[in-house]
Amino acid sequence: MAPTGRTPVPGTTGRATTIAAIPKAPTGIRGLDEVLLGGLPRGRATLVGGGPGTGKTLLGLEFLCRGALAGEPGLLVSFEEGADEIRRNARTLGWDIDAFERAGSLVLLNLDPPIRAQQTGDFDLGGLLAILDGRIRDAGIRRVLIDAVDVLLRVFQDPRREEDELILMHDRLVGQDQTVVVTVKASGDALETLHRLEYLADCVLRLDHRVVGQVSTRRLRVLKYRGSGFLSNEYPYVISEAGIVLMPISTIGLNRPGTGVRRFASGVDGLDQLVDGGFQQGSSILVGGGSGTGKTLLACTLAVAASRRGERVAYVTFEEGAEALSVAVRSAGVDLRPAIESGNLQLMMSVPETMGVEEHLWQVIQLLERFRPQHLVVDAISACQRMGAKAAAFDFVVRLMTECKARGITCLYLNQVDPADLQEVSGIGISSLIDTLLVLDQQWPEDEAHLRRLLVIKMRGSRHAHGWNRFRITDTGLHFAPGSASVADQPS
Amino acid sequence: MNARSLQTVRKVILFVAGDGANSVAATRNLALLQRSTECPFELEVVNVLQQYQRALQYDVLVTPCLVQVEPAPRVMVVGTLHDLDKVRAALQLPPEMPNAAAS
Repeated sequence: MAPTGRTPVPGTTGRATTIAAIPKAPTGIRGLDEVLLGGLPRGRATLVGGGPGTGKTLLGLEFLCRGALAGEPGLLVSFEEGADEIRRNARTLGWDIDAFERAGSLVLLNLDPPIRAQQTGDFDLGGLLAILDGRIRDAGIRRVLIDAVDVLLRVFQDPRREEDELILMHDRLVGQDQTVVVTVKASGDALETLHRLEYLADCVLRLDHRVVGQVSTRRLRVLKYRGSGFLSNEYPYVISEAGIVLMPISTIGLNRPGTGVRRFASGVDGLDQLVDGGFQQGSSILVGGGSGTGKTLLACTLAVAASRRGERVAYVTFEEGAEALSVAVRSAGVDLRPAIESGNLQLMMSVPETMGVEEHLWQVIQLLERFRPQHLVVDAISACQRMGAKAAAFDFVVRLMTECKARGITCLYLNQVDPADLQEVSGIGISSLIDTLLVLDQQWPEDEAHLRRLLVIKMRGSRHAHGWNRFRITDTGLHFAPGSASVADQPS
Repeated sequence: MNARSLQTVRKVILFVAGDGANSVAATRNLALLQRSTECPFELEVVNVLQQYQRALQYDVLVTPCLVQVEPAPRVMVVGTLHDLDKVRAALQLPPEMPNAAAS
């Protein structure tokens, strides 16, 4: 992605500096190359520090596997995990290490440092360097992962000797034009080693695992990158069945839809004339309202109409299962079954409490990539707060919005809010990012029939109705009373 | 050396990296040890720069490194072997004979 022309995004402080001309080796890890503006420094050493369970080894392993696929054979030197353990971990991520090994594009070395050996007199890493040299030469290695180097360095029991040997090993590998990843534990005795290595390495990544709002979150940060810019935020990541995934917030998508954007019919009787002829393709629409005001029905009507036009709709529900949703709206004359059977509507049921923001986001993004919908419904974003804290919901919604914008997907967010508090309609503070903001409301006046109404609070680039507009819900869906609209003269 | 006359043949390998100072010192110290013990052993010197596969076979990451291959279990002593008493103890050799000294 281009590093220029970024606009600040709420909730982030990231900045990108210029891309330097230094050669880079793509990691192939989703999102990481974007943060590193292309990849790790080619022919140089990168240090990956992190606590247990942060996925350091995995990151390195994926770097090697991607390299193996790209014709750059890799060497994995492990001082801690056994070769079988590494093969097993790789297999769970879908990497067929055995095939790489047979093809000679990946070499695993599980070496046992002489921790318990008797020591008398001086020694150095001559054996290891000879092994590295030999393997690199014989197998035509281009990428090297030194995993848990702190375990190896323990044999020296002397910080200065450690440093000497590290410099020697670093120079030897880099001297052979190897792109090197070294992992070190960021805890206990290894911290000192880590800091020494941070000084030595050209690129330093820090992985971190913490619990925020009872949901565990992993974060990656680039601490330094000699000769190159990088995105300097902390980036949450997930360890998924597809390996490590970062989803840095993309600002590409935040360009507002301009005039001349395609509008599509809502399928709701009488609604389109209130919204300048229809909603805008690729815009973000927030529908707020109390329980039972017809939010879900509105979204389902849109989905059915889109499906009839041959467009695809992904519907993410946090509230009820697919069957329950289908039954609920059928009583109001909206039948989801043809849309589902035609394959144009995909429902995804998700339970907010089960995962953190990153996992949820990754699931939805995978759905977007697999299914390539024109429209996405999230029912309802108010439930996203249960992924962790209030900030988690904000994070989820904003980042999903940018993903959708980048793909030109219409985003229809439903939000369950207290109808008495219109100021709180966006609930989690995203209204400034929303293109179209609608509120649904219902009242039971003493001398009148049940009153349902809709308010278009804003609609970018459109001449929309102002004031409340009445509608009814019958057994044939939502109906707006004709002529109830008070259409503005000027676009809002 | 007459290893066959003993019940267990003692085999040791000294791993060195070329002819650096540490390698030379270890080779010299091991020669002293050989001369000062009544208990003979078969010695092989491996230069890891020429035979990295041998280093790999015995997990020899640091040099100099002395590996007693037989009898089992395998024993490893790393460094220039400066302290011969320590080496003897590790290899379970009998104590030093009179008139012999480490350099």
